[in-house]
Amino acid sequence: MTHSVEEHPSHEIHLPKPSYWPMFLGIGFALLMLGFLFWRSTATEALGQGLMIGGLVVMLGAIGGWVATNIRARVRDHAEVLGGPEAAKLAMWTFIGTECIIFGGLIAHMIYLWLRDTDVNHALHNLEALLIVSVNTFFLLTSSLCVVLGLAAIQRGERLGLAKWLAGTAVLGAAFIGIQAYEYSKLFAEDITLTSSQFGSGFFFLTGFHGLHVFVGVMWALVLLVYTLRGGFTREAHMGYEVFGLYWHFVDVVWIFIFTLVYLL
Amino acid sequence: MANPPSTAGEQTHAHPKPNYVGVFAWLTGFTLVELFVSFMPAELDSIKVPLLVVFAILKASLVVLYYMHLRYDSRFYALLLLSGVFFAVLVGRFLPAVQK
Repeated sequence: MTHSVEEHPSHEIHLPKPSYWPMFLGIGFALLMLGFLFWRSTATEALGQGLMIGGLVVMLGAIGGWVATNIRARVRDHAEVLGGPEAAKLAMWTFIGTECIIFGGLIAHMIYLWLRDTDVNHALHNLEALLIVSVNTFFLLTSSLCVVLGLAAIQRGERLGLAKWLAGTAVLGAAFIGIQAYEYSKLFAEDITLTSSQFGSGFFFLTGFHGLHVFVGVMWALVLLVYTLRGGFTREAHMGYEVFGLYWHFVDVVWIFIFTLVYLL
Repeated sequence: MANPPSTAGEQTHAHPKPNYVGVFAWLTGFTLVELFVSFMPAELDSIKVPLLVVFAILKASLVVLYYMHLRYDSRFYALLLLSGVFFAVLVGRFLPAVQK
């Protein structure tokens, strides 16, 4: 049970300690991007691959370290989120606002390619491709339902219910990534790749970037699942879950536009 | 002008609970209609494209208003989202000039 500061004037607010992990995450991302640049040239392809793998390892290690430190601080030391729970929500809405710009540019690029040549996405216009992407859309819409039903469960104080819906969200998100990988393999077989054409680079960058967001969401859901099972959320205090929900629904909204404006046009 | 939400006080806001399953049913229904519309012949593109865009906006609005609770939450969050959408449209509008 939680108590307000006013009720207990002696209550002290413990904030998480400063962390080096975000810095390592930034270094890892820089290595990944640098590797991508080197990989594009045939002379430095191997160096690029090495840098990308190294960057990815550093990034995953940093994310793991950061998450573990945060869970330890919240569960063991009962540290509070800097600025209070509403600040986390405000930060997520700000993040969503900036993400709109990035995805807006990427989707606009695909629309311009389509305006130039309305048959540019012909590889996506067969029954099998549409069936694959429709199943994936259904999975993502269902995962959004799981997230809100999880919220309703914790608002009733049902922690196990929340864990169940979180597990469902993670499974559906993972299935989405798996099906996307299958879709990519079919397109590769038709010689449509990241470097084959403007359509290929636009399509794989947009859907891959979205898939990366789904991957991050799945990891986040799994972390919250562990946190929930360890007694992390209560009926009164579950803002962390609400913030995750905002992220997941935003990823769903982006997919709604990708599905219509890239696959169905 | 919308004010930023308070960062102090209770953990969560109490607001009416939307019919989440009902919203999901609408989303699925709209998706099926979109699929049907996408099979319309290319000669009907002048109707097909605006219809698809309208359905995408309707679906996105349902998720934002009811799943993300923007209908019940602080208007400041709506302002943050709409400014993102505004700049996204701006980027989209001037993209051809950059690409040339």
